Amino acid sequence: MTNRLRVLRAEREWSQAELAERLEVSRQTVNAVENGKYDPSLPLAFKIARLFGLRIEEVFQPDGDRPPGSA
Amino acid sequence: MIAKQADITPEGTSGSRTSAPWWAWGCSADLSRANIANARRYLVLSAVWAASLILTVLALKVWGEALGPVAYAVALVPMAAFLGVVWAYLRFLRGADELTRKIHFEGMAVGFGAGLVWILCYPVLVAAGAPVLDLSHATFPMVVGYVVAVALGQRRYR
Repeated sequence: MTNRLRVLRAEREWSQAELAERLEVSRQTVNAVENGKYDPSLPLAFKIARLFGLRIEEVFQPDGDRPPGSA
Repeated sequence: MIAKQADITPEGTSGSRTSAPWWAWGCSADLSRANIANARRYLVLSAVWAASLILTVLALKVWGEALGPVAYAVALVPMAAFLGVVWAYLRFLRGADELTRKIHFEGMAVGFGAGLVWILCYPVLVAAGAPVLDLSHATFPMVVGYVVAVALGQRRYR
């Protein structure tokens, strides 16, 4: 699954540790999600979307689909 | 596809985070303070269990006959201690980050599989001439499988 987490985080100038703190997960999890190594659980995906004020499908996309707003 | 979260409410996941201490092997690189306490409790109780196992075996070897039926109660002491380890490990998992939980669950699956393979395949080796071993020897591949799988999992998601 692809995601825009890194882009969204960079727009707010947050570090991975800061984002992890806000999501109440480890920095390792944030890094793994950003790099596509780990797909977050549904509650965490909702938490991420809510944090950025977006819908889930605006943050996460199934493999092969480009998320809206991505280059 | 987005994976569904297991029905476990994280405990101790809030609060400031800090780097995992050197002894918190297998834990995420950063832990909440509450989960460092959970990890410490797990390690302490594991050490208590290991000590109780050694002392119980020694005691039964030295005083086993003199104890009579009480020997059975003494033999159950390590089992009771291990229940504490299980309780502490559950608390650690409940307070852990979802990725840490995934890594540990996969580690347990590999450990279980390694133990099962040993139990199922070793009788064939015995038929080929290998020495007959006690069933408790299956814990060795279980532990090794678990440790290796958790280490590889931590490395994979680093």
